[in-house]
Amino acid sequence: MGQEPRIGVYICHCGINIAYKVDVEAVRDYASTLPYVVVARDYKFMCSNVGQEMIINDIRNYQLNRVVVASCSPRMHEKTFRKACEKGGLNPYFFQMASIREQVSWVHEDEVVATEKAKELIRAAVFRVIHHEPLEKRYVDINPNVLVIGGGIAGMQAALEIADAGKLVYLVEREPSIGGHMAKFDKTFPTLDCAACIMTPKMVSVGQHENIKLLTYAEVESVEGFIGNFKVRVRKKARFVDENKCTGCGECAKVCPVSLPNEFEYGMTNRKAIYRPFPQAVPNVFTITKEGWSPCRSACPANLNAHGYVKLAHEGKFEDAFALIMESVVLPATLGRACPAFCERECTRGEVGGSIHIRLIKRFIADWYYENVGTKPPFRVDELKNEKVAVVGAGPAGLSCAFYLAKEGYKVVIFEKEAEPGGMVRYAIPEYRVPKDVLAKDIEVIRNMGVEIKTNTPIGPDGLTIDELFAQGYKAIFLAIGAWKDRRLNVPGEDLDGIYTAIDFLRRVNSGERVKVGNKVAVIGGGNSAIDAARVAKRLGADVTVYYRRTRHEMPAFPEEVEAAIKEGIKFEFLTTPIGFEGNGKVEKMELIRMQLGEPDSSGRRRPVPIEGSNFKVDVDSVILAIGQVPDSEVFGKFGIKLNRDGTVYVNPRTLETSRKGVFAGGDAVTGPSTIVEAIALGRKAAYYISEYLKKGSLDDVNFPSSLPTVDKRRVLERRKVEVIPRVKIKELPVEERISNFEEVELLLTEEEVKKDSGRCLDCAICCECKQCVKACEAKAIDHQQKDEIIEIEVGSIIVATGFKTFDPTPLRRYGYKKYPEVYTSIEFERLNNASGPTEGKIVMKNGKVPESVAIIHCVGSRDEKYHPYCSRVCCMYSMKYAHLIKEKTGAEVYEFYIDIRSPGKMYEEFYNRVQEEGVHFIRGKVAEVTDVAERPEEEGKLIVVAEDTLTGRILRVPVDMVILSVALEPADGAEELARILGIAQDKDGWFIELHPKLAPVSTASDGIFLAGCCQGPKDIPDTVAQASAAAAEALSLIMRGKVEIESATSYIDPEICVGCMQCKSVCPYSAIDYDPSLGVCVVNEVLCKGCGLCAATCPNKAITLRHFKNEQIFSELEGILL
Amino acid sequence: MEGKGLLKELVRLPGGREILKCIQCGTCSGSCPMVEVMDYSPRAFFALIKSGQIKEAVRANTYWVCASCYFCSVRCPRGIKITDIMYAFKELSVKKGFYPKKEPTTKLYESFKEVIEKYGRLSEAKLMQRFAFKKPLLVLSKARLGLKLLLKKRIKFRVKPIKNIEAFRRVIQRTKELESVP
Amino acid sequence: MKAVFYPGCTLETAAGYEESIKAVNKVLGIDLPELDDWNCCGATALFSVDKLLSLVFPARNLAKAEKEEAKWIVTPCNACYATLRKVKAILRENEALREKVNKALSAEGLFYRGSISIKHLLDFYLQSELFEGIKERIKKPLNGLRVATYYGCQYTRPITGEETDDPEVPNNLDRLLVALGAEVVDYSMKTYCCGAAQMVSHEKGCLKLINRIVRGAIKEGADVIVAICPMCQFNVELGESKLGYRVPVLYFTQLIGLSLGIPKKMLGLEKLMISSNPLLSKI
Repeated sequence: MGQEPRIGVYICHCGINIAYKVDVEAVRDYASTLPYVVVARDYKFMCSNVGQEMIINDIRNYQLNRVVVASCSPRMHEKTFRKACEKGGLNPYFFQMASIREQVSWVHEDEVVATEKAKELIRAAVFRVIHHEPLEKRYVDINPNVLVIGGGIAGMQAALEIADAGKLVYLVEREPSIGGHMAKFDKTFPTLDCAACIMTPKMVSVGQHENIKLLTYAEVESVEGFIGNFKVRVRKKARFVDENKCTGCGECAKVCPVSLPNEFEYGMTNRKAIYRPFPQAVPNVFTITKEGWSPCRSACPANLNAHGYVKLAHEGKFEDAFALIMESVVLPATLGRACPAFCERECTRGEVGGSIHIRLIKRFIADWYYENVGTKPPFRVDELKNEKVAVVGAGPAGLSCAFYLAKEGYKVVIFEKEAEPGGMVRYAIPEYRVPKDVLAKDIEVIRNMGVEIKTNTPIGPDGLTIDELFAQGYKAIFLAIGAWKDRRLNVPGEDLDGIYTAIDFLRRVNSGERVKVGNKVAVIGGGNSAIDAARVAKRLGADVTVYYRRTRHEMPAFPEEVEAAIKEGIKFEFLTTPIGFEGNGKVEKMELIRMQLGEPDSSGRRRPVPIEGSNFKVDVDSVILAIGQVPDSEVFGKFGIKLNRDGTVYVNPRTLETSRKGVFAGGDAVTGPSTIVEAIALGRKAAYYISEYLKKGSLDDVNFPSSLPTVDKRRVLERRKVEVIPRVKIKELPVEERISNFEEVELLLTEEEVKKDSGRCLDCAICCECKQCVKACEAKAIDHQQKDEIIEIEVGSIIVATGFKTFDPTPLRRYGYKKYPEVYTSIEFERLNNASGPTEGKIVMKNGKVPESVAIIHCVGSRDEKYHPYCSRVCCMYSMKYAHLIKEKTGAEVYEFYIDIRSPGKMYEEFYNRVQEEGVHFIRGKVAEVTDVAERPEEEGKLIVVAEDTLTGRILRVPVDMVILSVALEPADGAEELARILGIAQDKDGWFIELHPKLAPVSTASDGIFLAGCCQGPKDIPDTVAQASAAAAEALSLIMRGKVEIESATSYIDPEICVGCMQCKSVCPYSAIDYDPSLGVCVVNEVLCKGCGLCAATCPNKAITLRHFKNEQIFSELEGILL
Repeated sequence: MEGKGLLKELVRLPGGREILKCIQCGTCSGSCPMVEVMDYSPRAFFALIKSGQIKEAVRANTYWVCASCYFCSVRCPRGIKITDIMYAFKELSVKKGFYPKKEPTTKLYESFKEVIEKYGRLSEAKLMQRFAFKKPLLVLSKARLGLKLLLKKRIKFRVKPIKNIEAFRRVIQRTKELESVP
Repeated sequence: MKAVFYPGCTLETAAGYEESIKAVNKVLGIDLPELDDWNCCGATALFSVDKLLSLVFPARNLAKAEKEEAKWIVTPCNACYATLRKVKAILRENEALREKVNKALSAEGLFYRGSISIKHLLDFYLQSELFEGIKERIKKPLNGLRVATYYGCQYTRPITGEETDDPEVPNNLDRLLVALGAEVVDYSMKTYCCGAAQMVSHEKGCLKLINRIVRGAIKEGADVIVAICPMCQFNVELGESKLGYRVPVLYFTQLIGLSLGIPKKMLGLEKLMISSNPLLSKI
């Protein structure tokens, strides 16, 4: 405590604010009786000069060493009185304040109670101040850079003021362009000067100012530190366009196939996926809206960009579409016929009219290309390399791998054991699904890419070995040998003539052999090859029955194939399996047993179990066994390549490397029997890793380009109202024709049909990455790989100018917004009236006609406890601006439905008078409803506005052509989040709170953070700009001071008690605590400490004390209260 | 000064204090189905009260013809429960016995009360019979309608009182006693 | 959970409402017993002239229902629905009144706890299991029938918070009728007042209301106006005949009945002033 305390107590009347509830004299007299109190006085205004002098003199005359002032709140005047003490030669921390206004007179009705409470609070203050200790002042340097958040008129004004003063400003705007709401206006009240004329120059100078670092399409993610020293992380969202290269020429938008509602025009027009909000945008660059990958693309094993080529097909750009396809897959014409089209299963259109015919569109594109361009690859080899790569097997996987390696510039040779390339596609898939000439063209493209295919050249015992390939100088080998070995039943009689395996049977037919299957053919199995075999046998004139041991539900074959088979008259016997075959030499009878489904097996399908004694026999001329295939891979085992038990080749699932260095594998050889597109996908993946392997020698930190997240279908359907449009009907060859020959069953879509069906695409991902913009951009500015970037900046002060958003009146159903097309919100009308808006400033209805009468409804969402209780301040004025402009442009009758006209501003009332004189009808009454139900002839076909004219007490029904809702202003989206990041407060309506409504209108409770414009509350442009300049001035004065005094109440760690557990370090928000390993204790960095006290509260050993908030001080204060 | 006293009383009614929040926007009047037959629109009615012309207000038929559709309450931007206040007024005016003599609704409601107190349930026929004593002409004008309904078997003259009518009457009796004590 | 039916006084004279409810419940196998010895709720009238009695009357019914250990009291009438809810709300907020009311009820050995919840018949049928039941049993979907859904005022207005729909633009009845196969028109007069009891003393004014209610339906080309309250049906049907319109006004239960293939005589359609034949021929 040091020397004996001598305390002076001063009670403020605050005019009558305190005195009318608190008996100040009584309180004063009481105070003088408290311990150590030497003098107690009361005065009308303690904060006034006289009041302060009183304290200063007493300190001198009575040798006071402690002072207590009972008045308003510390936030209001603590600084004032601390200064006074200092003037009196007292350490400012020998001062304590008791709030008897906010805490007492303003909140108590009863005078006696109030007076008592005042006494208690003062007693507490006295008890506390006894234990106060002197603290020395602390200063920090001010970083002269300023951050301005929000690029509307407020943000721009503030930024310019500061930049012109020669200080560096970071201006962060989350939209692609600065300008904010004002950029949307045409004229401004009351002067009616055009917003663009006063706005655009400002925008330009902001864009060009050397002291302004403009960060558009960016958002503040976090703020650390305190006044003078803020560390800010800003996320610059990927624009997919290089701001420095883009010239804003707009060629990209011309070619972009994706259009969507234009946010800037509130959906009254459309924009492209690559866009610029408005022509005068700053920076004058384009931005791509990309929400991820469309479901179709993610669903495809090869991630083929279906969305992209569907859009291109819609535009008739089939050559570009072909190129886009070939970037991800080979054999497009084949896939266009025989792909299971996983994409179509995921297509969002599936829920509203049936999925797009993605596969058939691909087929059309490929066929079109071969017919009109030929088989030259759609792109050139990157640059030739010396390394040679060998590919074993010319199936889809092998061809795919070879093609993409060749594209990279490698020399690729494919070794194929069969006479023709194509693998299963060539030998197992029947002609009626993929005609051979189609496959030939697909392969031709691959050859033309520079791939050499050696047919009739098996690798293995009767051919070259892996070692020999390496010896011949091949640097890497890709095994794509497929899965050709049919599984067998292992039942008696399986070797009789007339029993084929599916692959063998199909291969023979596809090689042109006329296989004699006889009359009754039994196909065993439920996979795709079973169905293929059955449909082929049918075409050979047989009566075909498929026997499957499970039910149709478990069949692995594609449903559409099964459908077709049934159409073609093929019979199905489910839950039966053969247990033997009879006949001498040639099969004649097949014995089967019925099955039932038991427990699920490893494949998740229920395991079939035989039913005792359910055997039966059928006559057969031949049997085709289609019960699955495995790779024919033993030989490679001998070459020192590890195999799995089922005979598939073992690979590293990430890189597709086999157990032997330099040897990779893919396709059915690895996965077992699978789809063409999956094989192709693995082929391309292998090509990527092989190429990386050849470049780097190791694949440890190499990764296949990652995919983007899939767009959620729900979100797509919520984006806008989607009407149901059925898919184009596919034509098929009539059954009787098909079963007699091997003609393609599915017929081609016509060009018109392709364009029609592709037009149904919902653009799930918005940008479809068709790359048309890349082609069109001469500046080479577009970069589809761009990623968000995090920018770290350091500033000394922050100006928040995040503005507002307009109220959405949809919930006020009675006004018919979104129900009646001619009901607009005020901001929509701003665009409608704007020379650069959707109608070039013509005020017309959706039907193009000029309205003859317009009603403007005030206070929509304002002064309404169900929405916003406050007055939005600007609506009256802009509503009257509309009235004037409508009269001027259309001569229509205008009705202003108002509650009270509020025109408190320079020349505002005059403007009101002017509009009145122009003959606008002013009706005092809030509109009850807008309806289209006519009660009188003159109301037919109009919108009827119903309201009471409160001045005459009559209920009016006013028929009009157009209704404008003057909607409320509300806090911008994300205000809450920003408040959290900055540590500033919001009022109950969500606006940011200023430090003091009169004395500190642009400051916040967080030192160094200032407010400008509508983020603090609704206001018009003049007030906004004034406030912006004020905020700039605050920031500048801070900079000019260079130093600023900060809280002296810092915390202190007693090294004697501290055990160095570092819990304090982990909780400190200002990273002001370090661990000193030499002493094994924590130490507070006093410069950084803000005295928040978290550490003191956390320390398990009570080693930390927060100066000015010591236990004895606080306990003694409590004592004072509770006494 | 009766007015002032009344205003105090009004303000003490459930939701009565809310009257003071009214900004005279007229949403209520514009939404009111009965406004055309009211002496004062709901808004004007509130204006009378706020300006202290309480007597004029209670003499108005406004609150009597309120069909209690609650549209005003749903729409009032100040969240005033207008319908409830109208009820409070009816109650008050009954208590003070100064309601608009010419207003038929009051008579109708009384007849209604008499019928249900007698039978425990309502019968349109009985209601009309009683109402006829009070407003003969009005009822006469509806005779043709009554005939139509009769033909459609949509009128029953014979009302069977509820089973436990005695107990029911006891409840009414007890209620009346309770009402007399403040 | 147990529900009891509170018909309200106007049901037995309503044009086929009662008949259709009984018929529909029979087909759906719904057991909805009538509240024993119920009394008039007092409606708007009593509320206007006798405060305490206007609380006691509805409370008696609620207390009886509670005594029968019902979870819900279900009513087909908007006025009863509103009155019961209003009383529940008042007694929930005002303990003194609740005591008084219970004193009165004790004369009959009754006690109101406030545990009962109040359901409109429409919401009763819309409970998922019942709603599914209706959908499953549809024999004659109302395809091609254009209906205007007239909820009336007191059904949607927020009083206790038990309300299930938007106070100005409700959707419950629409949902039901769409499920029955009908085409619901975009009707703007859904919750506009029919004038209720004022039809007696202020006919002229009320006919204006009926006029816009009917015109709104005609404007959207509705074949029928569907009501969920006896008072609404009565006022609209008789009002429009006076005005010379001929749009049939049916109870929603009558349409459920038709879609379930219940013969028209069992639905009391003959009691309507405006014949329903034109729309029957449409289905």
